Amino acid sequence: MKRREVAPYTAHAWQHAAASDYFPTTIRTQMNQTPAGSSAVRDMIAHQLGHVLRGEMPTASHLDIVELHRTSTGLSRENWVFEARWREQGEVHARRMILRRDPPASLLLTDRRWEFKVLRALERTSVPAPAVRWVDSGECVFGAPAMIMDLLPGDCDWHVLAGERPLPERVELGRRFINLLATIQKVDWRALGLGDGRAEGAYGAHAELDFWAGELARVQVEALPEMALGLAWLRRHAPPAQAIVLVHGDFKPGNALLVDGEISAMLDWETAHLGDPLEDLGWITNPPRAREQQIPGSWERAQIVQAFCAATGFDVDARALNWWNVFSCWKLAVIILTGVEAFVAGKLDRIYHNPVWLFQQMLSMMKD
Amino acid sequence: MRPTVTEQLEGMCRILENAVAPALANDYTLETLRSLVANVRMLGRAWHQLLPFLHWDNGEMAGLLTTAAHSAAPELQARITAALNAAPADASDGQAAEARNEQLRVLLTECLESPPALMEAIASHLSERSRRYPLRLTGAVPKHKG
Repeated sequence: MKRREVAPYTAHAWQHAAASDYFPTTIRTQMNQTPAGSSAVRDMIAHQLGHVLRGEMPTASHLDIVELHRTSTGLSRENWVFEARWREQGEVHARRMILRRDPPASLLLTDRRWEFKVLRALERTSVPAPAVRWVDSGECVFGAPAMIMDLLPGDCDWHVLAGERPLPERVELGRRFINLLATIQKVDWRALGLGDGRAEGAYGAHAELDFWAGELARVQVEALPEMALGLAWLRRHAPPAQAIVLVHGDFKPGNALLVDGEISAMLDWETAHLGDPLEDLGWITNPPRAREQQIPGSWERAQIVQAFCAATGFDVDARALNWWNVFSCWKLAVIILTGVEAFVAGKLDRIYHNPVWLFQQMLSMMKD
Repeated sequence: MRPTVTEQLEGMCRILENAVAPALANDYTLETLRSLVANVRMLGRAWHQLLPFLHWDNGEMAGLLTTAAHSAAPELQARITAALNAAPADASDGQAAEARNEQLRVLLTECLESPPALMEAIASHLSERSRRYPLRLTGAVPKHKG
């Protein structure tokens, strides 16, 4: 995780006491040895949340954690939602919040400090994203790196563009997603301190390939000539970036919240990074994800690209976009293969298989 | 052989869905059970296709490797020849077919600098292999989260 590692982050939304003030050193062992679905884990999470919130809100009294439960969603993090209730200066307060905790194994190895830093930076922009409250990149508080943020209202529907809303409404929503992408790409990442000191030429296609090739090497459990072939093609054809922007990394309706048809928040910033403007566009227009991202006959690749150019002012070279489509298949395959490795190692409660559906698409798009 | 393997796998799904799932109150546990049931159901459809698939894939790869050996470096050529000349395992032995598959896929991965025509044939085979791959789970993505 060299690319997305940052220096230890010390700024916290709340005053942060030393973790050792709250917790016994055995908590990590206890949590990681308890089955994820058991009520004992829930009890431990509730106990630790109480300690964290009391420490972070020293003027609060009568603090209570209610309705704590682990949601079934979230393929890379454990998501524990709850409501914190407390009294302060004679008033009763309540806030819905979410604890995102690293599971023993995940589809993604990402850094909570970096995600926290991105979210804190986005609070200074017009990009709608959750307010983040607390982070611990260590393992002594919740047994694994964890982050607490506000739970925002809204619905998340992976297939909203193919859903039951009237067609003009869905097309307009598709356009709003592209406008949101443009807003993200216009973020002044330098002013927000999201750079890591490297020259701009260090970001983009080759950097992404290096990072994900490293991930593949880490998780590969069998021979994968499809992935080797894909990597060799990607290395030969990597396009230069016309600019370096903030890339979300998993831009899709399934990572957005909607309130009354408006996008109220973009979620899951754990794979955000600096890179090529076409990277997120390649993810959006990737043929295997068409059911999530497109509306047949009304909001397809051509319309999306046109809207992207109009909203961002960037040019879209067809060969470069095809490269990012191939890369999107290859990267998603690496993520799924991470799940395969974690499952065969006995660390994951979900079974993942060879992503052959991605191999097929990837191979069909690899034209010289 | 009743219940057959297929019947047993389908029966497991029925029992898990009817007897176990209703007792689960936790979203995460219930979703985990659902994904396991989907996987068992997929195995019920796919298990009998595995051995024929492996034999087909191994045969196709042997052909590609025979061609690749002509242009391979001497050391790789020797390993390809040794693998292709190895005594055939019992055709009904699934584990042997799996091991053979891995062995040939390792060698094929090393032949990706072959002449263009052969590379095209390798890519074509890998695409067809992906199309035929029996352990294919088209999992439903979570529809909502908040």
